[in-house]
Amino acid sequence: MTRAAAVVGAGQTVHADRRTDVSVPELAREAARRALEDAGIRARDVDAVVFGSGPESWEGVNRPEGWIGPALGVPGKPILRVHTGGTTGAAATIAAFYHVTSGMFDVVLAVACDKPSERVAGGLPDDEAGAGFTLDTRELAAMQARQYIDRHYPEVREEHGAMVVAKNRGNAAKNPFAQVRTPVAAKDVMASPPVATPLKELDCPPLADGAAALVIADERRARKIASRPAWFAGLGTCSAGAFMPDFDMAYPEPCVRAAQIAYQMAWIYEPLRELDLVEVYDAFSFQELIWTEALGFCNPGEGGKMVEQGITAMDGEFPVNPSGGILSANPGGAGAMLRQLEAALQVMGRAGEHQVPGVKKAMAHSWGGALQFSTVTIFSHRM
Amino acid sequence: MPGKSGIQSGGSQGVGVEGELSIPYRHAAGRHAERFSREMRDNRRIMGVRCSRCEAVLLPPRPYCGFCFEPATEWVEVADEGELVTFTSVQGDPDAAVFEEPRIRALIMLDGAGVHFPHVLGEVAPDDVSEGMRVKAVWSEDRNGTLSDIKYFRPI
Amino acid sequence: MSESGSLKPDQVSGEARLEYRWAAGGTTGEFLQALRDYRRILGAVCGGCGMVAVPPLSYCEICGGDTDELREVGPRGVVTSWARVIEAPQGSPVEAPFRYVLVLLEGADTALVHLAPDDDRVDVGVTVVPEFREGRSGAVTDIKWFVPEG
Ligand SMILES: [Zn+2]
Ligand SMILES: [Zn+2]
Repeated sequence: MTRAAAVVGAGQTVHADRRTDVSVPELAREAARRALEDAGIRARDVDAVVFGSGPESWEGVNRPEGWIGPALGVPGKPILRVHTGGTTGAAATIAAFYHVTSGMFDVVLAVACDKPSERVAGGLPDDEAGAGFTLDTRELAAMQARQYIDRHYPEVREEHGAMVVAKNRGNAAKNPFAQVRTPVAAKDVMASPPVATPLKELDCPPLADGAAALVIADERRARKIASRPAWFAGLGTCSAGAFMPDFDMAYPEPCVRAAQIAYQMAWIYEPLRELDLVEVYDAFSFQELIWTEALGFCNPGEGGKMVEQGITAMDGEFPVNPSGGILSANPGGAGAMLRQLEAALQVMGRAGEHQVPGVKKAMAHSWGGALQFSTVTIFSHRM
Repeated sequence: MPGKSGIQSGGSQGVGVEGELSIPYRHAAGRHAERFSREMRDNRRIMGVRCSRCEAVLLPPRPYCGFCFEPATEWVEVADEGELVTFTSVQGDPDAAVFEEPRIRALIMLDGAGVHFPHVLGEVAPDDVSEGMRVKAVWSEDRNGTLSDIKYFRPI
Repeated sequence: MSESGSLKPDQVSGEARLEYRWAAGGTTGEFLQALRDYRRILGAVCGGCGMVAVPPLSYCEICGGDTDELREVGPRGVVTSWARVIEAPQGSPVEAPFRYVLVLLEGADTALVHLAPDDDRVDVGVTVVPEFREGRSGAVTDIKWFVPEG
């Protein structure tokens, strides 16, 4: 890294089942506006924009890069669109980080948004194999969960997924931007109807229209703009092959590797001790346990114990998803940026009611594609 | 090809723009997919390729290995039976339409293969499925070179 | 919904049919409703730079500011450029030959892309007026095209 970079401002929309009052560009504008206000800078202070969104069929607008760029209120600035499945929002932040650390730009606005309520069912088929036989995300996650439970039973049982949902929904009650803020008990999750075994209805995430934005600045500007910036301390991304069933889904290699890269960069040897919390991409309940293990916070098979003993609770030794996670707000491509936004806010001490006291280092994780993309971002209160 | 579009106005619902697109597509299957399909359709054979570096036998066949990104050139026939790795009993589609009977999606490690093969199970109730069980392909008489040339896998 | 592909076996082909419904947002919604219900064309007055943009958006693409108000523009306008289309693209709302025109409507600062008949009177600097369709659905094509005045 040639020079340091930090998050100095953050904005998000409320994540709602359906936003009929705004178009897609207007939704993105809402988050961008809030991020600029939060940083206390004007549009003209932004040097470049990176924009992330899902596939066109999730946008309710064709070629979103054409519409959303001008809507962000920073006309005339360079804009780059990125898309890497579920990690899209995180990838936008990462591209902004590259922009800044390269020395090319001083202040970069990263924005991610999606409007799945307007998504078009289907799209062109992914039949590179000439087979036209693909698993949807839920089926993939279900098989991942089964593989995981089967390997570690009885240390990991279906109840542990339910405990994750209960914990995250409880956390979301304190997050005014979350989509689902009504607490549920683990027994309600267990009693909810099966959708793709072992996943039950409440093990699966909602879908939201929503957007997120971050202002990222170089060292000199960051110190001017923010009194306590969230410095990028480590970053790891890993992309694997396109054929998802190839690797061990219960301990996914792309996630393990992304974490290793980030830890190396951030000089972290004992993640559980050196980090204060993590926001993981818990698109499905069991994934929180799987990521907790793959990111090195416990040994394989100990994820169940982590949630059962309250270690990952908001007031536990190592909170996981204090914001409520994807299980409480799932705005498509913006979801991965939300993980970073929440981790950064925790480091800045500005997470509001779900602030964990005394956070110095926090991590954000996301996965996307057919489990093939993984990103890990570590923020620190010190440069 | 864009069809007609128009608006639906509705008070608190805001104005919605509705329409329909129809997108015809045609793309080259590629050499690997072509042979994979042809062998299934004409010979009821499942063909994979071996990675030149890690030696994993990859399915469906592809020009490069997804683990080490090295070329995969040697063709290898794998068995049409193997071991069940993981499965899920799916009650309905994501848009909440409930199936008449749950569909059992599965990943299978075919004998001789190095990666899992996605398919469905048949002739078995969800409660009787367990990981590690042996399963075998039931081929369709009416084959067109897609994965549905195998109707399903059944327990042996 | 994507219909299942078929294999040749070297070719994968099929057809994806996509139905969509998206929120127009308040500004575009009003623009489309005004076209359909009142045969009026609305522009957006920018609160930042004062430009009047057609079609209107809730934000200004020139200065990034918020739209202050919607204001009726036209219906007369002046052609600022045109192109003759000999072969109609797929899904074209009118039959070829026709002309694409840029029309700077009275009271507007940005030109609207629209259609005109393949009439030699359609030229740069010529004043045109919209011809509205009967059966309007709330689309910019509710204006069939712009024709020379008089
Ligand atoms: Zn290999
Ligand atoms: Zn303006």
